[in-house]
Amino acid sequence: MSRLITFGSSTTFGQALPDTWDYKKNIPISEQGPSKYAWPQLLANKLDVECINLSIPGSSNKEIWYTILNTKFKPNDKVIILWSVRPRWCIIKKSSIENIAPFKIDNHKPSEYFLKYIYDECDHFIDSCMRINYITLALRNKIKLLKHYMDHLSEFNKIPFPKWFDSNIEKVNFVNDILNIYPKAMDNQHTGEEGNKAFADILYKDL
Amino acid sequence: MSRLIAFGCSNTLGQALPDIWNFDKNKPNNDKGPSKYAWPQLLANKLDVECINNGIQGNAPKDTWWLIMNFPFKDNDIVTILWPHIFRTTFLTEPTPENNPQYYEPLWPAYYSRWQNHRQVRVWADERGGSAWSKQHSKYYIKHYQFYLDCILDLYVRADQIRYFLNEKNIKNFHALSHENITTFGHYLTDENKFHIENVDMSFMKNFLYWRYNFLDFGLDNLHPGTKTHQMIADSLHKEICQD
Repeated sequence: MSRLITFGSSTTFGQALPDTWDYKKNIPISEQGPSKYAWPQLLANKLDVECINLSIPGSSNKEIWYTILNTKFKPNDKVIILWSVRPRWCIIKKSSIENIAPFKIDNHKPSEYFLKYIYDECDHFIDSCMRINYITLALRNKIKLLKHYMDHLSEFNKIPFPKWFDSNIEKVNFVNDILNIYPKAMDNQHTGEEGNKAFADILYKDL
Repeated sequence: MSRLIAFGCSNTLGQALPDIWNFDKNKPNNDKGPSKYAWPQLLANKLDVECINNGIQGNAPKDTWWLIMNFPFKDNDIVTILWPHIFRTTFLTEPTPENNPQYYEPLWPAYYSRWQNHRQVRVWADERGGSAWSKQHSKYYIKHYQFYLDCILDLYVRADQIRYFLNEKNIKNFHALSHENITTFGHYLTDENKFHIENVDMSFMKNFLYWRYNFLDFGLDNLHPGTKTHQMIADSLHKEICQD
């Protein structure tokens, strides 16, 4: 059976959807894996393929990239990646990954310092371009299909692409076309069930 | 005529070799350009091709990657890269007359990053830098953000991307690690310690593992490779190119 393998952050994971939400504590949960209401599973159902959702809530493009580099693919796999424009980063250590993100700045000095003194929009953009392009090159001839999407395409396009960037980013703007239109999930931040269905429909048509 | 295009740091520039040394002040004179005794020129002589030495003192792997990705290559070029120290990094900011007057290319690497209101020269491996302020920031960066695996992976992937990029243009490219890299993470390169990343194959990277023990001589600063060592690098790369 062919497989749909997806990578991304909380949007791909399906954070705060009914099966990834603790109703007693009113907080998201991720221990039991990604949501069956998230767009990857809905798309896999439509395509009648197995769904392997390898997204990680809160991850940076660097962590998404590293996860892809460490994944064993099969020639029939279809791979969809939902990259992010958020100013997140991570440090890859021997036995762990330390995340750097705006949502951690209150109690994580490296995150605070990074965003205050190190983060640069241009540098971050080029870094993302490098990682997206590398995945295109590394997976070429290894899988059946590879599609790149960006969660906030208009933000990503603000800086001109380097001339060597030759990966195709699909023309779907998740924030404008989905997040801002459909009802939110339980945390009132992420996309709810309807938005996930709509995104799966768009991707299905794309495929 | 085909060209040898070399990239790297001071070890490629030929820092502290006799023709770019200020004997009066006993310090390097890098303004004089790359040395004719440096390995790129010696290798070009052996191959009987024109030499373009893009070695820049203090370059990080990221600078080197960016320069290569934006370099105007021609058919028949031969590219050689002596990858700089993994513990250096730089930040690519949009050039402005203020931070980067000498360059006009869009998104050319500015050797300055934004540290508060300051403009900071790159993060140095050994916490150097022009001022106490930059030492402090390099120190913080090194402590909190630089870890072996992350830095090695960064270098490997940039090198691998260049290999793909140049192979697609049918440009021959040869990659080697500088002696600092061998000293810093040589033990990670041995078979028993080699980390496995499923979709990254770095077997094309040349490891001069004997560098650590066979630094034949030193330059006039007693720090950089001397003329004999540069000859050794040129010979090793020549052998590699001829075998290809």
